[in-house]
Amino acid sequence: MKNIIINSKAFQILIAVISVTVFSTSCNKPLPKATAIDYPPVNNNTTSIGELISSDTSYSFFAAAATKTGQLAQLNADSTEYTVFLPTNNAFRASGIPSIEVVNALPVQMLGGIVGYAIIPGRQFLSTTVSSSFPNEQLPTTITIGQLPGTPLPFKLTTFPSVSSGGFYDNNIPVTKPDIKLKNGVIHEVAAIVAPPSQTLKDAIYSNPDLTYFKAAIARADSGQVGLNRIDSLLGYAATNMTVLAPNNAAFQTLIFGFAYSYLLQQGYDQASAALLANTLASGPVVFSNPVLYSALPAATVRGIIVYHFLASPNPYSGAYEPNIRVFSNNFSSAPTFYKTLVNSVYSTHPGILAQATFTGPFVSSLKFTGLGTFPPGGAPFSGAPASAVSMDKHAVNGVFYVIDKVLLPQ
Amino acid sequence: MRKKAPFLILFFLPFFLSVAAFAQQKTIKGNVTSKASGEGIPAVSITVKGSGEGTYTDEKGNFSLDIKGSLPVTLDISSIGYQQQQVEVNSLSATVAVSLETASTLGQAVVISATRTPSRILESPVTIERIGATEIRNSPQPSYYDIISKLKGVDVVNASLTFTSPTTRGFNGSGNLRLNQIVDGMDNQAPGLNFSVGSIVGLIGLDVASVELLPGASSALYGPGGMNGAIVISSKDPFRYQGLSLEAKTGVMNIDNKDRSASPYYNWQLRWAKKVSDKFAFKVGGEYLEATDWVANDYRDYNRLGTTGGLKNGTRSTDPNYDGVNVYGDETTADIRSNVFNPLAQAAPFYAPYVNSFPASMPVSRTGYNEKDIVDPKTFNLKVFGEASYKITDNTSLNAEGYWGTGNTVYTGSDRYSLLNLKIGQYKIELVNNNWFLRAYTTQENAGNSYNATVTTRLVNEAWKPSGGATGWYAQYAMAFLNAKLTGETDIAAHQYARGVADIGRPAAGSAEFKKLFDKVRSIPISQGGGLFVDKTNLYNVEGQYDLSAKTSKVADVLVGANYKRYVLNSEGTLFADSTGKIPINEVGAYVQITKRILKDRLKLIASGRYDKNENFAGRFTPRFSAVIKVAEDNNIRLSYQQAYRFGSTQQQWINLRVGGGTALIGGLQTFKDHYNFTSNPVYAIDNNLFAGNPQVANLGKFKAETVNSFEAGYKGLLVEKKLLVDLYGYYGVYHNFISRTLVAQSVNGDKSVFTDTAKVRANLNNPALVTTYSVPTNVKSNVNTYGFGLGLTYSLPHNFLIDANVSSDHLDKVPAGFIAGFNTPKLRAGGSFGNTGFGKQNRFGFNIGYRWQDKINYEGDFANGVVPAFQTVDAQVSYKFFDPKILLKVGGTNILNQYYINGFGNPAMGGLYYVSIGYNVF
Repeated sequence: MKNIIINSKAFQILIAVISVTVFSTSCNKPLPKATAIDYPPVNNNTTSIGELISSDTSYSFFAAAATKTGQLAQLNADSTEYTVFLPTNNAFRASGIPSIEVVNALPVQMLGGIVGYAIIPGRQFLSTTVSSSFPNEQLPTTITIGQLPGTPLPFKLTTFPSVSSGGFYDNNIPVTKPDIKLKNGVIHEVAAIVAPPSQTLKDAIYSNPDLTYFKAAIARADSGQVGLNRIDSLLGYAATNMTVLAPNNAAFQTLIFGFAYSYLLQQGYDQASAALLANTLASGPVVFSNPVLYSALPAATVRGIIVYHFLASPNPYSGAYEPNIRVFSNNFSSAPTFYKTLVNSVYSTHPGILAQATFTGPFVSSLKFTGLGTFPPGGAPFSGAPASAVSMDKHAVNGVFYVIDKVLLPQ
Repeated sequence: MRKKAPFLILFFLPFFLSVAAFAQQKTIKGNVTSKASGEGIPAVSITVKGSGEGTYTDEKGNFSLDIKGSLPVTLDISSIGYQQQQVEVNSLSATVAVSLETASTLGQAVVISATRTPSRILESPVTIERIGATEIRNSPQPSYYDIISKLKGVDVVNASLTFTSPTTRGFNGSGNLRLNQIVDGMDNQAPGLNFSVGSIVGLIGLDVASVELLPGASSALYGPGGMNGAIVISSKDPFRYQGLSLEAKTGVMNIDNKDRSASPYYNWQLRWAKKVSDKFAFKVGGEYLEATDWVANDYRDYNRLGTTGGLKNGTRSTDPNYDGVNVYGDETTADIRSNVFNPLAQAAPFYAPYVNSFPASMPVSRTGYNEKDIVDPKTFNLKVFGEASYKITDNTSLNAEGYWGTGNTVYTGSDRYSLLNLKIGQYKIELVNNNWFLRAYTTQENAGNSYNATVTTRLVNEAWKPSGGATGWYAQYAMAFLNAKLTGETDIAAHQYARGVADIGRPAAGSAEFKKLFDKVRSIPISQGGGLFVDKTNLYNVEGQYDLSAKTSKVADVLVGANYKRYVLNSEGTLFADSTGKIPINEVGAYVQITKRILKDRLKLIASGRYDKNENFAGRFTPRFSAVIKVAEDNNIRLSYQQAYRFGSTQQQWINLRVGGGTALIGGLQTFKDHYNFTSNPVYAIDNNLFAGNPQVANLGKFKAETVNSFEAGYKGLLVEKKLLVDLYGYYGVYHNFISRTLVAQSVNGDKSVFTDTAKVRANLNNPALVTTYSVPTNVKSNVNTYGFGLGLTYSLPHNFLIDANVSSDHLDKVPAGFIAGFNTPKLRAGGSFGNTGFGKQNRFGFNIGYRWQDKINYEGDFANGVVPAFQTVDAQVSYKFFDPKILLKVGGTNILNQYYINGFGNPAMGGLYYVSIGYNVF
């Protein structure tokens, strides 16, 4: 009988367990559905870039421009991400556009350039995430200038944010208020309009009346070269990214005079006639295209001098030095620093050009370049003061150039 | 032997059936009916007391018995479920009319599998469960095979409607390898595909005499493999169960299925057995099943790493690298950052800084297709069988038997496999004597048009648009992504746009174009770059057994046996490393069992031992010791220590297959390690060390057989005036050299640095150009321990009502760190049923209602890992016999609450199946 009781009890417990189970899990749970990944806004903010630009009156010039060009709406969309180097109204004024009426009076194409060039699409770059190392980063803006051959990819006008001890810049324009984080990206207020380039280096340099010698020297340097080995081609190729130190006409005249004068003295000319003849030779860029002088001025020599005026850096993959950096004045160091040039593509150990920037506030007030060479070799006359940039940050689609007052010699 | 026990006589009767030619023939004719229903009872045993002569009633309850001796004789009339009766026959002229009273069958069953000799289930030395023909007839389950899933301690995994894999005591999985399944003496395992095909090929329900389940280690008697048990299924003797039997079942399923509309279910069975003479009988039959299968529709996102991984958040539109559990083709993944953007940055330096601001790794998966779009929803299963039995002498018969089956089903292995027109035949010839048997059989396998759904779908994607190349899918995707980024889109918006662009023109699921492409790819063998696996692996087995007890019974009962097994792997290089020719594997084994009864039969001691040798593994001896202590009449305590072991399966030895995720599944034999240069180009363990940039060379060791030592204690007994059957067990199992698969990685170029850059190591692992991942069978070095218990109570109520309840529990103990156990077993499961096999007027009504609940499982499989939630099922049927009481109308259903559930991760969700069946002569 004892057994019966025990087993009845066990039986009751079992029934109870089953009953509880039935009640506690009255329904099989359906297979859970896939859970969507929730993508939060780029920043924890409920206002979009477009909304802030529309509502903040200190941006009303830009808002007017973007409204006129139809580029404002895109900055509102939730599924977007942007970095905007936003010129405030004061920045417009600093760039010579005093009022909203003037903004509205500007051609749509020009406004579209200003607005479009201020925007980096698809990514948020903060003052803390922009590279502070040299060379600076090249980033696409919303302005399309062509199609990459053989791809469905657009070719974009690029911009160059950078961070250095001098501060945070876009190209050569200082950021006055960085990192305004909004729902779909970030705004950096800039001190002036970051103007979009409109020409290639070739067009810009060749049309500059103070650079006619430089142009002629390039033609001479390109003698016998083909394709992208031609400096002329590089300058005209929109996909390159160059920094060119372009000696002005006076610099070339000085160089040619000195070169011819010492050459003529060696040839037995007296000083007066040597000076006269040298002066004549230096008086026009035709000196580079005069066949009579070809033997005295070999293309290789000219090329050696010209490529010394193109800054270069090693290709990260091949290691070869290429004209692939765009250095704005503010990217140069305030301490004398060597920068490699295209000479390194042949002589990889060449120390390069010594450059030094002098800052006044965030702006560069003076920029000096010293070549390695003296002229004549080992001689005294032209090894004096370094070259000064007489004109800085001349920005083109495929690079930036500086007009300098001396020709730099690589050896 | 306890010759007085009627159940033993019952069993031995076939051996005593004989006709002595020299004697003068006298024939007794008679008829046996049920007192309750008045209907004839088939398969009733009629024996002449004291002589051993006997016969069975036919399907109408009639019998005809030739006797040698003189009248009067006493006939013993017995049948399970009825009270035994004795009738004295004085005259041959009158028909002997016998009317039997029904009796409780509780605890009366006789089982064979526990000792390979018949014994009462109450006296079994190990835990055993039995399903008899009555249970099959009265079960709500549409297939007898599904009844197994309701037994206590049993877990099943359903990879599809007809692909059911049962096991006990842990380590379950679709097509699990640790449970032997023996059908009429033949190992039912598909020799190449490795899973047991019991639910697809084998007996039909009408022909099943009994299903016996031995949970726990069982290889001492059934050979290597039975780590976790054995299922022994026996068919109905054509001498005993005669006549025509039919059953037609029509049902409906897929009700309220979000991915299928309600669909019909058909199942027709036929069996015809004929005793031509006292010497010769035969049976033939077949079954046809057709239905729209369940559909695996887990669309959750899976974080795949070789053959492991886990769920993660994500949908196709929110995770660029989405890899849905039951979505195929999306296993193809590539890092567009390293494969497209980095080269782009090199070619177009003005985009380099922008591209460099992208994430260091940008894995993107190709767009997949849901399982319902690629796997033929029609499942069918055709089985045919036949047996001829000829009695050569009184004690010896020659049997020839064949089973052949074909069908469509879906199997979950390392991937989901659509087994299309799979064909398996098993053919046997045997000589069976009272004391011995000699048996030869072969299993002939043909995978038909079966294909790997995952691999095939990936290849369909490639056939439509190659992943690689300058104009490949990934190039198009990445360019479109960059384009979208350059218009200011966020990453995810750009990904969505890019997918739209790269998928332009993608064949829509279900379109004629897709079907054409898919059918083309799936019909190309895997070895030639398609998804078809060719498998014509065969198994040949010869075995014999001799019961020496007649000669040794003074000392002890002794049983000996031996077998020879030969696998011939033949996959034409699509599954095994057999592209250069068939691979044979030979195995031999022998066993002995000694039984001794002492203390006036109160204690029965059984010792068994078995030795096996496989040509690829060292020989092993496995012992079993068991004791049955009779504490009272019909109350026994059992104790056992058993060892079981298993050689690696044919696939664990010889597989050579690239699976859906790109991982190479290889065999564990040394030849693979040599072929893939594991020595000169080391393989590294994929573990936390690797992800920390500190790769460790994987120590794979020699591939050995695994063993389990199992200790078990149990009690089975009848209490409360023999109305309550109690079955209780507890066990502890210790596995040595547990066979598991381990993932290792090898640099394609022998360059260790692909594993040392922590930022890229995950991406590299999924980049087949840099890294090959192998899934290699290995032995777990430390022990793996399991333990559990089960309790079943069955109570016999008046008027044939029966109620039972059971609870069982299994646990995995002491798992080594990082070990993927694949235990796949709920900690707790419970169930019960209430039914009656015959009540009301003439006992014409029957019913059964069953309930089962099981706890959640942290499921680990080669296909996918994840939680299988707890679930419950309610199954029920009511039946009525009408007109001719031989016609059985049954209305029933499984999972009648229609609450969809899965029992294996990545497997289809199953809902209710409701049916009506009409049977004729279902005995």
